[in-house]
Amino acid sequence: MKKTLTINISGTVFHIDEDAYDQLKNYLSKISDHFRKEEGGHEIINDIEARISEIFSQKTGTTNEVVTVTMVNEIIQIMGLPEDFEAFDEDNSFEQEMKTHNTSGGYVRQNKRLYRDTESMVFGGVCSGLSHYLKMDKILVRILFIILIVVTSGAAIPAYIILWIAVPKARTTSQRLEMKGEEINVGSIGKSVKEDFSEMKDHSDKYKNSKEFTKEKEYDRQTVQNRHYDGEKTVNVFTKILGAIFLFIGIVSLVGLLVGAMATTRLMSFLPNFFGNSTGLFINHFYSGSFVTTLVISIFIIAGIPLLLLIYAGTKMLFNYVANSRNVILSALGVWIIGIIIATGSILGAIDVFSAEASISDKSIITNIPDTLFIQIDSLKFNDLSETKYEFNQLMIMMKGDEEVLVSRPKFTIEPTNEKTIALKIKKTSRGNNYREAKKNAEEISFQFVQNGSTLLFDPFFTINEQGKWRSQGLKIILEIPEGKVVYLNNNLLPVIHDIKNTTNTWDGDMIGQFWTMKPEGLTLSK
Amino acid sequence: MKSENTKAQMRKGILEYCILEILSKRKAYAPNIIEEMKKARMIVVEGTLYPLLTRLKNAGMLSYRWEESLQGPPRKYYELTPDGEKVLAELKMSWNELVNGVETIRKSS
Repeated sequence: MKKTLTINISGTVFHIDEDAYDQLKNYLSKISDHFRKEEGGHEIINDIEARISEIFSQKTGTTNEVVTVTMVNEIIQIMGLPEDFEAFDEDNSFEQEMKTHNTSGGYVRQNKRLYRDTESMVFGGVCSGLSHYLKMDKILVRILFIILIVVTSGAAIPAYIILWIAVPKARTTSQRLEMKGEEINVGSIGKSVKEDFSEMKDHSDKYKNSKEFTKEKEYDRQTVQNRHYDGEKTVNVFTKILGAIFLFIGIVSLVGLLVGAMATTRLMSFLPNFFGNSTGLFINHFYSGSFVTTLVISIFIIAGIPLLLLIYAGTKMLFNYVANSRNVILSALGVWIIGIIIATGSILGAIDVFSAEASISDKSIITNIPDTLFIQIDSLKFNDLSETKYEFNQLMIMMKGDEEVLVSRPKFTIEPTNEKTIALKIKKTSRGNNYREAKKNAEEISFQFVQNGSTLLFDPFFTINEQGKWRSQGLKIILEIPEGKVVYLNNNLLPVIHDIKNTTNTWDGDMIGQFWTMKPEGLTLSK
Repeated sequence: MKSENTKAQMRKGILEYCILEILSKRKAYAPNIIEEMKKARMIVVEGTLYPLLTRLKNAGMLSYRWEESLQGPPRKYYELTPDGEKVLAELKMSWNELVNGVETIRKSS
């Protein structure tokens, strides 16, 4: 389905597709720009419109067919672009007239445009096109561009690609003439801007002077023309300055973004190198690599697209080339929205992996304890681990040789029981996408203890599966002590001891290195 | 590139003469003129013609009349004015002189 507009060309009504309308409008405004300044220009434009109207009438016939892009293209082919008749027109009587009659010293400067020079291209002919525009040597422009790429650590590459996509190639002779700008003797943009400025000044001076002599109608007409001219020049100068600012900000921010992205990944992966050597990213212990990559890329898209558009706008303002801005902006917007959708999706997914909780318990009976039970951490276990690299919440990442090991401290507590025997309950908890996933994560927790005579030895840490991700796993050691039994808490229990209730309300840290008896009223310090 | 410039210049100079020649035979509207010009490979795009017609008309060499058409808007039919006929006679002479001149130069050894 297509939207159709109704237009009136030279008194005849036509239905026209929206895209065809845009193209026709664009074409007609080019035509009228071209002839506007000419004497009798209005009449020429009317003649051309009448002819277009006639051709459309013949094509659409009596059935009132809709005018399509193809028809508009045919029209353009038949009538030709202003550039095509400029090739005939150059130095024509009209411009001569302008030059001699326009006493204010202004002359009609043919627009120099940026095109890609595909006749001497390496990739897309952008540099050779720029060399024509800037009147510099091709090789020099290329070398400068390579330097720019190196200096900006690659951020100039997207700028090149934007120009490659957006700048048209010089196809026709007149486009090649425009590209080379043989009609104008402007050395560089800087010079042209300077010229524009001085012309502006001249014009306003002349305008002021002429105001005093403004008796003749001729002069009136001219001052109006001059003012119009001044307006155009002002716009021209400011557009170029604004374009340069846009381009600068765009490239600088893109460099910033790249450097920032690199710095962040480096910070996450290399900063711990100051403490020990590492291989992976911190975040890899939470999420799979593909998730991290997706998130980083989508964030890059979200932040980068506006910058690329800024660069595009900057180059367009600075170099004056013809391009279909609507398509460029629409496709950029599309990519940007996709970026947002992907980022939102992955962030929601990231939150989701913590949504369900599950726990599993395992109870062992401890026998052959005559009277006193000694409890301590097995200091021989995990002694091949170097010091902690990170500590995050309860998660600890430690180094085993060159490998990172994910560990966490268990929590040890003592509770009274009515049973006659001592029992050890291990409760493993974890989170996950859903209950099954959470339970699986809990099952993958590994933790060991051994009984050696009347001594219980615990692992100092519990570990999760090697490929496993951190899902807020936890492990609780609950020692159930019947009345009358005595426990000795070794000094090395300090890191794991957690909230043991006792009659004297002694703080956990002060309970170690002491004998404690289970009495009917609770754990009591033995003298 | 330079030769193309020269070619365009050469053609441009005689376009006005060609238009006058065409209109001296019969009155015509723009597409008729274009047709003949295209046949003679003088111009490629119609857009080139309209400024020329307007310029000639403003110089008093041409006049036009509106004529109703079965398809589309009314058409402008151009014809030569007495002034135009005088100019045409002059141009014809100078063209012949040019052709003879060029021929003489080409043949002389």
